[in-house]
Amino acid sequence: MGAVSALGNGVDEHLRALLEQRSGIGKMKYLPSVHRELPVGEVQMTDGEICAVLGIPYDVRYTRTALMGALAVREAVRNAGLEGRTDGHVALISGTTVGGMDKSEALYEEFLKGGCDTGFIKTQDCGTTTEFAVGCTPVFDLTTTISTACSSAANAIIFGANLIRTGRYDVAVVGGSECLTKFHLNGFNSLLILDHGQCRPFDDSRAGLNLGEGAGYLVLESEESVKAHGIKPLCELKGYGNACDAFHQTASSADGRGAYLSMCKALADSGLSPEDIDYVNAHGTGTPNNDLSEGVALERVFGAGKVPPVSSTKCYTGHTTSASGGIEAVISILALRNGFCPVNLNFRKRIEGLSFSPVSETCRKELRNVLSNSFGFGGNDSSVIFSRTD
Amino acid sequence: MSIFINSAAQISTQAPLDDSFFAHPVECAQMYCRSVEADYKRFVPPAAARRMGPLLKRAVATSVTALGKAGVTDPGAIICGTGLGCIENTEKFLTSMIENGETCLQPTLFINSTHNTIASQIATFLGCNGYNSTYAHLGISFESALMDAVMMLETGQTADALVGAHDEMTPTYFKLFGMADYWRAPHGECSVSFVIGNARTPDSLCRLLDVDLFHSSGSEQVIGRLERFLGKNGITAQEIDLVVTGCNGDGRYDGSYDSLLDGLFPDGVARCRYKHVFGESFTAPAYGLLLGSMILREGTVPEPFIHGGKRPGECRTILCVNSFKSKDWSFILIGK
Repeated sequence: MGAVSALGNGVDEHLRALLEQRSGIGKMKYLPSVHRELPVGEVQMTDGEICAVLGIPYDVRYTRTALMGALAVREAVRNAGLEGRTDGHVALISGTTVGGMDKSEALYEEFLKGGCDTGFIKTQDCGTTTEFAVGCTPVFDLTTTISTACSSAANAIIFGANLIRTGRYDVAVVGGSECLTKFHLNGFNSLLILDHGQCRPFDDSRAGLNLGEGAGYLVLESEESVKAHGIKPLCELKGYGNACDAFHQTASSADGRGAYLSMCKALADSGLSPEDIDYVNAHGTGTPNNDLSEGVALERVFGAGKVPPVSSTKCYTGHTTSASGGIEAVISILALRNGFCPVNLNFRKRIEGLSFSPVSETCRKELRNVLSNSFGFGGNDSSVIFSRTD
Repeated sequence: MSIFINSAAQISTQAPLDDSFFAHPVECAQMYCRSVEADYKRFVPPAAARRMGPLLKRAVATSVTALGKAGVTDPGAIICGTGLGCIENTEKFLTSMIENGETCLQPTLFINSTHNTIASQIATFLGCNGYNSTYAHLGISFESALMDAVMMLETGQTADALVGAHDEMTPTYFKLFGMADYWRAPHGECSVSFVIGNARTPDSLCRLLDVDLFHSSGSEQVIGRLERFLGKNGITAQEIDLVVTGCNGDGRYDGSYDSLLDGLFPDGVARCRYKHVFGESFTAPAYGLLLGSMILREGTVPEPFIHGGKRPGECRTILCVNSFKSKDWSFILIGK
């Protein structure tokens, strides 16, 4: 696994922050937006500092999404010891939506006047941000980019798993990367779904989300390859599901149809029963609409009063949009392996109409199966299930 | 298990939603070739049409047409490839944000700016709750979507899929690409929808045998990858009757097709091209698949598409090859 977010650079930093119940959301420091009042979850490094960590010279054409992606991909590849044992037959599937918008919004006016470095025009799209990570860690011979907004990384996990399931690849690095941009900060702001205080997922008083940024990747490997190489895997990707809410471009249906279907599909794929799920890492953005709709869907899947421990970790990282499915997969696996349910910060009062409250105090327990939800604009809903292998 | 291409529909530089381009293609006469719009009133109610940009209208029209031809109402998967997504809305929101200093922004443009707007709006329009995904990776965006659909069918996760390729070329982007010397070829737009499934229909175009993607930065050569791909499918180079290439006339990259094909076919092979008709775009390879599948159905190779090599004979197996700047490759294998 590899991860970078407001919680720090590297998987270990994420585990520490979650156990210490320390949020990375705070005052805007790096994003040059006029909306300084909005709390955000920023990676605490400038682009130049990320380049330094990567050991490459800074170049204005590098986009932040590409840099963060390269950082987390490299960590994942190193942690799995891939270099030197795969003959370069590894796929990289990455999710992003804003791509190089951080640079586009800074340079657009100059571009139109025709008076600036045109090299950037070739690096602003989604695909090029993924290929940047390939350049930094050249072990990949297939790479593609998924763009389903906030479920992009979860769908990258699904595509990578299908590459393995169909025998095309033994190893796939999957996840997503997304930097903060004025573009989507203002987009979410225009939809009036940004909380001006700290977000409060699954709280009755929740008033919106805080945006975050980062990248998170997993290394998936086939059972045969794991056995052949004598590798002890972190966990098993037990099942996955993708469904479309087909309701509205930005709002979720009242009965959480897409969320319900994606969780049901993941359960069916895994062969597990609802009662086998020990913890749900919810999408839980903190918007009034999402958390109620997701909550209703959870009750439909598990039964009212029988919903397993649920928490949203977006109160730690902010909503890292396209990267969230990757970062939250890392968090789900950390929870699974370390036996704890991350505490849902800032919770005070149960949502009226729901039968469950999120995990609100320290919860150490053995987990066998964890379900992680990622839902995106357009009702692009996906769920993945991770299970212990011992 | 077999996979069939059961229908296809296109809106492009050619007559929209029509197969007449096959017999009577019109070549791109300039560097910027926008698509010929269809009559969208047949597909979208006027109130809904006002909220949709041209790209979305094209996507809905080709999707509905392809589904109708295939007799499918609720596809198990809707998967789109798009290099740039809804770039017109993205530009409008960006311009408005810059001009208004991050204030007074209309959410509608933002809502409809994401790449997945297309696939998800098609799903919402049709009421499809099935699998839904979107790929945005340069010149292999469409083939990534196609590969996803093939894997979904191979694993039994769906029985059919609507697979689309959708890109628009705005005046701003045409200008930016010109500044960057991006493509030395006519710039086109793309909207092609295919319905594929594991059951054949009386109107099936062809079999879809397999898809592969290859990023050629490492040690493996393109030819090795292609040979491995053919071998996996039990097909020898001699069995390939025709290669549909993505040659676009850009001298910087067209040679990479020659190197590959001369290496794989020492005695030559029949070759077709299509980008001189449809223009170049990130998702243009979808037109290559469209051409190849129509050649298999019709049993003829129209003269305007023939591009050197041997004279084509009877076509039973066709390989579609695209090289995005000699770096990202795609191979699609189709059969009669």
